Amino acid sequence: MIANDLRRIGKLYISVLGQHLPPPHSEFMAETLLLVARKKTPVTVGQLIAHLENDKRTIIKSLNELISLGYVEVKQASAVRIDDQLILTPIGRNLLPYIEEALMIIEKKIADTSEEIDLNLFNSLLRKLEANLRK
Amino acid sequence: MTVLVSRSLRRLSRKYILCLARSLPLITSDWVAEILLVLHGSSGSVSQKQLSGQLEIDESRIVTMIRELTILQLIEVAINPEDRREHMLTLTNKGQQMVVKIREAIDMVNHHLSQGLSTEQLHSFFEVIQRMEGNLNHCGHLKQRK
Repeated sequence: MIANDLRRIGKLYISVLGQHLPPPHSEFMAETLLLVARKKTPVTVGQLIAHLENDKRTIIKSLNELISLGYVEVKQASAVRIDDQLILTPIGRNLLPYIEEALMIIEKKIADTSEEIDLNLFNSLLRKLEANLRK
Repeated sequence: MTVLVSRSLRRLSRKYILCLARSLPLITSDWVAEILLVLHGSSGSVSQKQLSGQLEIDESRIVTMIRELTILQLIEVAINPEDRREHMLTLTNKGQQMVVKIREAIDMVNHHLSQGLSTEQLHSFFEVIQRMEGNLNHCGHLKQRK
């Protein structure tokens, strides 16, 4: 079944990427720091949940880990947790080049065959398949 | 914005399962369908451990799914008389009938999935994911050997 193949490759991708990422070596950490760094306006916990398309409980748990590692700080905007704004700390900001490098390494690795893999073409096909399933 | 390939793959996988689940109300996860297909593909019965190895998922998770499938009367669990620690799984008649429905649903979802794409495009997509997996597996081996 295609779904299992996709998930298996996804898991493999995360495990290889994790070898090149700073602690906690997680996909969550990479995506969160990149999102917060690249957005011009402050990212809220709610926006992070929407961006990562995962459940709130998992995201809050992983976010707490990033806070305890000193990568991210939280600024309260209201009494509701999903309105909290995320700010990169200097430690978190220093990790960005390592994350970018890890992503470059893995992109190079997945395309590393004698016959080059066109990742843009691959991603456009992925989007087309997803659109078909959405119909 | 960088989107990790893993997330795109996972999202597509999730959508695929949602489509499948629409035609198979009993199927709560792709693993359920996959377990039934594995049992159908094997001659006779399969142990819980073999199943966990084949699907690359924890035995503890397999136990939960097996319980679910047993309640639905799709599989039967029996203790291996030669090794009483081992649980052997077999499809029931209801399970066999469900496999036929799963196959039909997979064919339908695959058809839906491939609309507007040529055979060559689909072929190259699957070839690419196979190559990606090969490359990533190779990375894993290199790291282990270090």
